Amino acid sequence: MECRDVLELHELYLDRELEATQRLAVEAHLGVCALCRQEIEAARAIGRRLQESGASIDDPSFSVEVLRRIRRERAAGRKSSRIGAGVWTHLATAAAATLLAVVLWPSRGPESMEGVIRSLSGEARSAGQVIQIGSELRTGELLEVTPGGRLAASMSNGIAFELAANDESARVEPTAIDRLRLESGTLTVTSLSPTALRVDSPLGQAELEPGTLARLERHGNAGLKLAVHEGRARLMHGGREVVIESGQEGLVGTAGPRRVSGPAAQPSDAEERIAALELELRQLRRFEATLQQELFSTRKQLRDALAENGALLVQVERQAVPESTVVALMDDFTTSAEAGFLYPLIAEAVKLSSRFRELGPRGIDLLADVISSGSPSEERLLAVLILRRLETPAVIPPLQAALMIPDEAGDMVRRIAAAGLSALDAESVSSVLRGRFEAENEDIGVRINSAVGLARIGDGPAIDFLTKLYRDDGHPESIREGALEALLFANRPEAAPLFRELVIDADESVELRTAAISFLGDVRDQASLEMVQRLADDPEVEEAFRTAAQRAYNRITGTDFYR
Amino acid sequence: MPAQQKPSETAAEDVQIVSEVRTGDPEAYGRLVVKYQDRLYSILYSILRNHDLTLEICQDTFLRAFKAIHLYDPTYKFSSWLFRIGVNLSFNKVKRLKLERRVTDRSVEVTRIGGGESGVPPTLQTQETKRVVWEAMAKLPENYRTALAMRYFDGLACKDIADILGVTPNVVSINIHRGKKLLQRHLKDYAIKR
Repeated sequence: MECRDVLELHELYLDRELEATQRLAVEAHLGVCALCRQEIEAARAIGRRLQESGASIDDPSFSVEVLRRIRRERAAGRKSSRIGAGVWTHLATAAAATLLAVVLWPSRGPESMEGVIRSLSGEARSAGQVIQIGSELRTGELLEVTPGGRLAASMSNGIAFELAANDESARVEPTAIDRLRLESGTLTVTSLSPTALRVDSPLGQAELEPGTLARLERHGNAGLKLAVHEGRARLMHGGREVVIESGQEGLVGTAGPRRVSGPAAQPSDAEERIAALELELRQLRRFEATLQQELFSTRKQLRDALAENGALLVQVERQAVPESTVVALMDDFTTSAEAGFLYPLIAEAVKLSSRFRELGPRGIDLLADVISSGSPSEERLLAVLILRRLETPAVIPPLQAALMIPDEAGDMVRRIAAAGLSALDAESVSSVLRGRFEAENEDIGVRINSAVGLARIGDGPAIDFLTKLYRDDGHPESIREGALEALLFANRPEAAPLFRELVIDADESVELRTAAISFLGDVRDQASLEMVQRLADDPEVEEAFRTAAQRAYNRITGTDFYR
Repeated sequence: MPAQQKPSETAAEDVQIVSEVRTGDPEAYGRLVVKYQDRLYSILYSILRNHDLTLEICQDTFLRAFKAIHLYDPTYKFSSWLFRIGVNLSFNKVKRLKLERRVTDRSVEVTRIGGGESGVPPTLQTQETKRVVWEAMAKLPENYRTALAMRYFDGLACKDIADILGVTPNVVSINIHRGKKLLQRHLKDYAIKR
């Protein structure tokens, strides 16, 4: 181990995070190297000075102000809700201090459930306010869907439900962390929450075990019907209860709870088909609920993934996909820490994309919702990163939408959307790409990534643009590299002149020159045949470079002259 | 060795407070605010280098953390989780300000970063020893500054810092080493100039 390694690993050594062999090597080195010991002592002194130099806020009202803001925000949330507004008015005359203490921390503590509307048809209101996809839901806010409408929601505690209204409006209210009150309509609910979910209605209650998928229906005063598709539930009324197992149905009304059908009942063909379709739908819903959960806990997962093998995944990512995007992004993410923000997202997207692929169109709808519903930037970024990995024409509409939506966190979402569209069948999206590429005041990353798609179909101006970008030393290195990667990815013979120059440019790195010569082979550039052959036979050049030259020669000539 | 390496009781205490907050006692959150406000401030100031801006982001951080308290996983340190939120908000702020400058070419907001304070928190302007350290810190690249701040103002381990910044622990160790070395050089320059 050399001095530099010892010094650079020393902080990990102090944290006891080095493997035994490395730890012993550090210790052995320090035992014999006085210079390193001296350096470490000096660094320790600096560390001590830093430790003693911490700043303080020095404002006694800071914490008070934080708590005040929290209360204010919660109050605003409550004020717009049905119950909250009532309490608010009621207590408005009370002393101000009491008001803060009582009103602003109402029944939201351990008993609250929060969530978001995922999809919607027809009109819906929450606490009387019209809501849209992406609107938030909270405990104590009655949710209402107009006749014929339907909405789906995911709650933060793992409960996902769909509320459908037939000829009268459907109404449900999350009343506590584990309770829903169904006033009318049909409720299909999946609970992945670790505790049982209770659904109340004036005619009786149902209690769903964790992991249960069930459908509950209320029609006026006729009763509450429960069909358990998976898992187990209990129907309860007036101290009596029956257990409804998977595949069974039950009813609770004035006559108390009872089972109305069981696995023994023979379904007709049509019923069987409906049941099969419903089962399929249910499985999709469950899966969707799981995915929603994952979106909810994205942040934590992202960091975990990074800690595990983020750097590795980045490598994989960079090689597997011609990531002009990532490279171009580096311009915005100038520090490693900021780049870190993107890398774990990519790692996460790689992980999630196979599951979304299985989910098919529903998965794409879900991601499209995330993009169009004003979700936090990080989620939208994740959605668009996943979409570009699905490699199906079905992702074109959501990617197009993403390309047009300005994002507060910068142009990231749009850059990735452009890269995603460019990687698809570029013919069908060329007009969109052209629009972005030709917009001169457009973000440079978006322009590069749009140009890739056009370059892939041999578009002259796009290839020229990328070539010029690379040649212009005035651009940041990341932009130039992005342009070069884009050209490599486009793999068009029109770009060959640039790569011929790179091959013979001794100032360039061997890696770059190797990539350039491979490119010339891939596009079967006859004009470079002589040069390629000379390099293939040159014992002076690096072996990897020579091998690449030999392979290129074989490709250009269509022979296997070099084996 | 960072001295404030926190004993496990501190972590247990934080988890206890978090569970009180979750189970209906939001006022308990005030204890976490008081406990971490100065460390959060020191770390975020090292990124933002502007007192008002740092105060604003510190408040936003505590507010965000409160709203997301149900997502906090107690197997991790509360402080790491909190600082991660703060650091992300700060980087986003910096990025947004840069973007605004690019888009609108109005540099009013941007000049707030590091503007007029030469990288020293106003409360330390009169404390010579500390002021010198912060002035030297301000000359370091951002990734060194941030890693050093977390290491020494909160005593975080490299792997926690790595987790917050989204880099590997090795990178953190290297950045801390290089940061200290640069800092040493700047402090020496300063001593000579005096």
